[in-house]
Amino acid sequence: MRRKWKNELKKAFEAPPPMRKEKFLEGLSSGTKRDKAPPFEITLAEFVLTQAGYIRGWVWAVSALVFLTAMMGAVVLSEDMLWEIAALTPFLALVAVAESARSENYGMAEIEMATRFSLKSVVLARLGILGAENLLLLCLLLPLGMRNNPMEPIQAGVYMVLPFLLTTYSGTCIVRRIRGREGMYLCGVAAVCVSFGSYSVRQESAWIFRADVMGWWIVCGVLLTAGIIKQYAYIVRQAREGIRAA
Amino acid sequence: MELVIDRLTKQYKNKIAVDRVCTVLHPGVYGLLGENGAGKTTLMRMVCGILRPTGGTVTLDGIDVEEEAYRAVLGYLPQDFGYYPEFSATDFLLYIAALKGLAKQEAKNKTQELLEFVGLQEVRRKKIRTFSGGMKQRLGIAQALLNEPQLLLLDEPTAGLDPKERVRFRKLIEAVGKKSIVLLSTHIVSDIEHIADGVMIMKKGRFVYQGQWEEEGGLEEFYLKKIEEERENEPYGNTLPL
Repeated sequence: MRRKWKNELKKAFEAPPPMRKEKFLEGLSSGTKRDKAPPFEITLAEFVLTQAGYIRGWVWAVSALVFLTAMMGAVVLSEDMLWEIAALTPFLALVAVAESARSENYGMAEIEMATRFSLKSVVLARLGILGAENLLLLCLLLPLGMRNNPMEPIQAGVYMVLPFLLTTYSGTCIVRRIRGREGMYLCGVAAVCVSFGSYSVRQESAWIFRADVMGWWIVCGVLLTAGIIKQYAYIVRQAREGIRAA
Repeated sequence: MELVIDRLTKQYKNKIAVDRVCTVLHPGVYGLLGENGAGKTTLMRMVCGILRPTGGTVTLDGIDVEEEAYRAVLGYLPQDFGYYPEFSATDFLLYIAALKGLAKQEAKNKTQELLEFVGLQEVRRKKIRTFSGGMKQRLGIAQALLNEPQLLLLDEPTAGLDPKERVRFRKLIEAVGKKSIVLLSTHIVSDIEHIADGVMIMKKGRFVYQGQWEEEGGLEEFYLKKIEEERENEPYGNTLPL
């Protein structure tokens, strides 16, 4: 009689569908139970945006200063600013290299390596953000450099970008081999040397800026770009593979 | 939940820092004891996934140490760690929370909760560079707990803590160990004597003992006895022949 009532009740009332079944089963099999639901996770895009917020203010300040200097000289004073801009781009490269090596320099690398997004993601996010920012800035600086200079755009672009590439390449070679503050000081020295060299070579050796020598400049640019990609690939791999052996 | 360390090895040129270490850990507190240079920190780093082993594997419930899912449930306090100089205590925890994948509101809630728990609520807006060693260590412990880790690795966590803070720390670890696997590397035997479910004694890259201890004189005596026994038994050490 009781069974008959039970069966009738089952037919009359349909059981609700299971909710969060997989989670419940996982909890049983692992033998543990969380008191609270796991924290909501952020997406990769959200992570990259948060990293943009942690890039230091002086990085943006240097970019703004370079841009304003170029603007003042080219627009307000109507000067030929191409060579001055070329001499300033090494400092854009310096701040980008410094930011990418920040975790190592401040002893945060070990903690960052053990997190979900990991040091590799942090380095890539910083490189991506600053790379995009520098690309945009160089695109804005090119017309300012050409404003009072009769040079062709490609030629002007190459002369402007090459000191940036040379500083980036030398900086990444330095930070791969010399960790910490010493590495950063050497990167600073490299940036100053490239800046000074790019400005003074214009005065001393004007022949290397002739149009017929342009091809060698482009070759140098391509080689430096390839070198930079290789160095950053090493840096990212080091960030992924963990602490180097002593 | 199960952490499986299977024949884990780290070899540098002509030295073996960790030599085919094997163990299986379940939720609880485990002490990792050993003299300087025994390989404790190297082992901790490999279990965290921040140092690539020469051989062997580490898995947590079948998830390999190199996977993101492993790091998502990992909390780690290194022996030495730095900080970005412009960060306050709150900034630091929010930054680490972002790296651990916590959403903004959850990160804020956990940061507040943990700062209160480790007793840094009143100095939450001060720059870390103004902190004492003990305060920095407490902040380090807080960041390791942000994501409610299932696997918590602490390398010399009580360095710089005063006795009152160390007692508080032991109570915290005991509570965490009820649900998670806690592996605590330390020189200070009293840190784990009353809370550890088991110990692993390491010497020259190998486990010379693992399990519970039964010694009337206490853990320290047991540890010294095991180290001495091992010293008498080994003929050559673990340096590879040149």
